[in-house]
Amino acid sequence: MKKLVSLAFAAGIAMVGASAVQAISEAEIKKDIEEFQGFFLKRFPGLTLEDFSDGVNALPQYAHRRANWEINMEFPQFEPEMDKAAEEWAAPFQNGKSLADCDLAPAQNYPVFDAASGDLRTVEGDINACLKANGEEVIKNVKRGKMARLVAHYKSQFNGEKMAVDYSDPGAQAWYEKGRQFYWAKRGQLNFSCADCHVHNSGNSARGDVLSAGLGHGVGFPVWRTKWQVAGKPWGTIHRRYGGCNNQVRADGFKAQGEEYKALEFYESVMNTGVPLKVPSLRQ
Amino acid sequence: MLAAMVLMGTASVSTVAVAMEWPDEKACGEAVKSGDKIIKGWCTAISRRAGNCLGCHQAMVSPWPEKLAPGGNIGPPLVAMKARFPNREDLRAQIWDPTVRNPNTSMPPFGKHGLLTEEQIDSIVDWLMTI
Repeated sequence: MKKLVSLAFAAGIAMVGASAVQAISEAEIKKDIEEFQGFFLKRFPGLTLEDFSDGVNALPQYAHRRANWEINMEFPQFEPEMDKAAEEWAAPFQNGKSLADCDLAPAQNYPVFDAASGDLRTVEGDINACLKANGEEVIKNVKRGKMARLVAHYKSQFNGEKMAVDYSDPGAQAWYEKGRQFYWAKRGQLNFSCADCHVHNSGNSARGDVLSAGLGHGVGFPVWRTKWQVAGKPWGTIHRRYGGCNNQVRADGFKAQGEEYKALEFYESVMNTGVPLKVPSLRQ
Repeated sequence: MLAAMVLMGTASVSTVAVAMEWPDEKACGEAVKSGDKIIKGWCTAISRRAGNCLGCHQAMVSPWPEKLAPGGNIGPPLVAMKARFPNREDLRAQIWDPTVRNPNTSMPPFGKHGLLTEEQIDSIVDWLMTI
């Protein structure tokens, strides 16, 4: 049954290019970006688009904790791990090549729509595809540990570059629409959409926690997170975070690098158009 | 707002809530054994595993338990409930499924989605009608 559903879904995606399934145009997406960004710039006066790179740390409601975050970012605990990732990136494959030879897109352009396959490329997916193409073992855990560290290494080389995802292809627009629906649909026993917390209630407090703004979500990922560090696995990709969020609203999470989260990452990345990358970051 | 404050003041004279010592989450384990239904409602409301009302709401009880973190500010503060919901059933319905009145609300449908039992909802309403 599950297979049937996903097959039907794949067919749906493939059909979009040719038919008129809930199509959204490039102009409509542009308008979405303007509205989304405009909402947050108005909600948090004084903040610029660039400021949202800092995630929740950028918000005035979080100001009392920002100094602590800044001190931690000066000598971040992930530094030795970043050195390790740089070594792993340069380490030769059996065939003499290395990850440095992989054909990756600039980090600010991810996720990249691949017209030939109709699929979305993520950095995680491209790293594993490159490993496979070179006869190396793929990295099985695509949510944390080595994969997160490698993605952080790669993306960090593009820090300061402004997010610029290409959504001009109708196929890409179909992914966008799927991600957009995911973002705004209520889910789980608690009946929360992503937008309930991160748009409508951004900056508000859930007990002692400040809800981050949806604008800027992902530009600091992979992150080194205190909550995950306590459990011994501090690194996490954006898909790991999505899974945690889904659990918190008591919904069944989806698979990292599966269609749902890739679509969500695409939607959030398009909303971040113009926000500079700042990878990795520390989060609470 | 002023009317609500006045009402709250009036209500406080006649209710048990004011003289009550409000337990924090930890003290609730022992406190509910007393059988007091208002305390039971309060404990159901503040427990993270039950209502977790404080996740989104501040609650105007006095004195506030020293070790209890203040509530969030996602929803309106829980104050003058009798004035805001003269009909107890309206308040109960609002907790059971707030999406009836506002489909876009951030408040979870506690009854409809089985987050709380009918009995737990009754008990929270019992408490809310005293503040």
